[in-house]
Amino acid sequence: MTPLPTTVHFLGAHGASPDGIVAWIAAAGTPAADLQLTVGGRPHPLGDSWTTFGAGGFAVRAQRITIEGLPPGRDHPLRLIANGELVASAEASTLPAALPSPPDRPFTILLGSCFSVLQDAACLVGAAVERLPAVARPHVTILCGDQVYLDSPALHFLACTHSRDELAQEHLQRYLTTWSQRSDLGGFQRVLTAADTFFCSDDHDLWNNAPNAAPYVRDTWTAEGCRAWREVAIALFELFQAPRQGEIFAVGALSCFVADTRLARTADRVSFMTAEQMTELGQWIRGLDGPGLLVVGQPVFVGETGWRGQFFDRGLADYRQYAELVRVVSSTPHDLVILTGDVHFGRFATCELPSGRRVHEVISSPLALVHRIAAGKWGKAVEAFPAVAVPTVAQAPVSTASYQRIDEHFLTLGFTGVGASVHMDVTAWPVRVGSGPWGEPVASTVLH
Amino acid sequence: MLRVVRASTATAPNRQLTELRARKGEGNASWLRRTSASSGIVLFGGTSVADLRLRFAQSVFRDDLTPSHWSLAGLLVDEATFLSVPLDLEGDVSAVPPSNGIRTCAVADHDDPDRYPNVAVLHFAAEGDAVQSAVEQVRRQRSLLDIPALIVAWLGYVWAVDDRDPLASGHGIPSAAFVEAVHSVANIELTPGVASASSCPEAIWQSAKWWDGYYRESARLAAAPGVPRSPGHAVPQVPSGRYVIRRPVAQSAPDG
Repeated sequence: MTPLPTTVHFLGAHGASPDGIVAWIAAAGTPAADLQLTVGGRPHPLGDSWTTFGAGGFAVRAQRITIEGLPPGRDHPLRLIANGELVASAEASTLPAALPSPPDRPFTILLGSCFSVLQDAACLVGAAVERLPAVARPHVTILCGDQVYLDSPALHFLACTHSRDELAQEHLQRYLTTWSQRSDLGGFQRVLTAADTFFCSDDHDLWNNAPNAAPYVRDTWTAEGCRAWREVAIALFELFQAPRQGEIFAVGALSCFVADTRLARTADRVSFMTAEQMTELGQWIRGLDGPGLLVVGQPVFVGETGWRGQFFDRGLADYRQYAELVRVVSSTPHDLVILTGDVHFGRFATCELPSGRRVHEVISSPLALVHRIAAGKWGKAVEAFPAVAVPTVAQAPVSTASYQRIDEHFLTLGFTGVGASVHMDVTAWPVRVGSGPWGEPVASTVLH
Repeated sequence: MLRVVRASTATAPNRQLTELRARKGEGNASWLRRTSASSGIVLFGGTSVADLRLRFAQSVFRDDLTPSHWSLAGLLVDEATFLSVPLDLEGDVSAVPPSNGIRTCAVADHDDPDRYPNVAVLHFAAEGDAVQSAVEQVRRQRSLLDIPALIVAWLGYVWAVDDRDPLASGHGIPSAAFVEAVHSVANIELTPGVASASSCPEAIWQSAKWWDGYYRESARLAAAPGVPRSPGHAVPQVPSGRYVIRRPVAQSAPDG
């Protein structure tokens, strides 16, 4: 791999609570001996324990530090200082104790997925986030899959096979290229440092249609190749993105569960998450005392893909565990909003359950399209949820809103609390100027 | 099209919303005095062409798809006056933006039972001035609710310049959007079954009639031990009110 000229430091806020934030600190190369972290202008000690990922004689080290005892709803900007100079910075804030009421600025989540750094040479995604008006700036960023395309460019991975160490070098290089992308106007680093960030994975954080073999990724044609790729990809995902699956955060009565439907997926069409995570998800939904947000890597309002799924892209409904997910979702005691990506188009759909509760599905994809042949073909959601028969669950009609996008974009979701209700306003923002209105209203609804 | 209204799960209407029949020849000012109401929300259902078009536009909010009983919403200031956003043009149009379209209206101007056969007075907040205090915020902050934009959209519909129902595109009826925004600032959800952008008098009426369970829960949460009450927030209550509907289905005025 091409080593970076000097040590590069990274900083981010990976998770938050009303009284704390989680600082993620990484160094590509040897961390500076006098590295200092400041939180809201105050020095905070670094930990001694670094997780290290090495490849080709080069190493990246990272650690996460939880800072507690902070007042809720406040900005606590993070700064990393080495040799007396600022080497990295990130926005961070504690979550508000309750949802704001009008006229205060809504609690805002930025939702995006599918970022191919090779297709964003002009750093447009970060520039678009930078341009957001103050009222739409995120408190939390959720990146719901394919933050890196480890299997791109496709021709390279079709032409060559790799040893484990070669995979480690190439994949680490891809992470460093993606995480360090910056320009005067933007860059993906701007997205990663704009707010407290939560991650869930999807296939390209491993390889297309993982864990099944991908036709254009020769390394995945053998069990040994799959295993090596998987070990490297998961180690990097845990180092740079999320060390654990099933993170939960809450603002007042609004609660969010960031699930992962890829890393533990089985090739035999049985499950897409661990039994433990499904149990935690069920407990979270049953315990909701207000509306819930469920982050998953792929849409839920889908049918089975059939034989094509073996070679291209299996969806959640192709797995036996989907029935369990349907039961859990259908049992929600409050309205639920599913946040997802993957499909390279934007869509908003709603299912009114027999219980009277509503399940909305919001799709935000892509941020930077990996290749024009992967351009999304917008389609309506399935007519009923679940589209496949699930014993003991009654089907309910699904309405697809007229909103549709196939360009590169991201969404913001603004939440305000009024009485026992939560108002949600969803807005779409194009990455490329001229590809659509700047700030297109997608949906405005009340959650109970 | 996505359904813009969600149905309440209530099986019976709110018992605290009761009819107060009008006496023979009684005007609305006299009827309102008999309710003893000097605050709260007032709804009127009018019979002008503009009123009828507004009432018809709200039929999508009713299961039976009949026109709404209501065409105007306002906030009572006292027994004789209320704040609202009527579509009637009056005075200098230059005055609309600075006031965000909000006007002080006289109950006496809405006294004629032939012109306004339907009246209701509704209370969603317990005693307190939080709702009235919120009026100034809505008046001063057009960014909070751009009422002139709603007025333009609804005048276009009323005059058949654009026959698409503004409610379908998220433009609430100005008077109701104003009343809802004021309650929203005071932390009272006025239309739990509707996205706020689609405010209309019918939605407020439906909330009072069918969503008492929701407000019972809101009141319980607000009164829970340890829950601090934010400044400017009102205390929610189960809606109560009186109404008279002299013409249940929209009809033209007698001379029409």
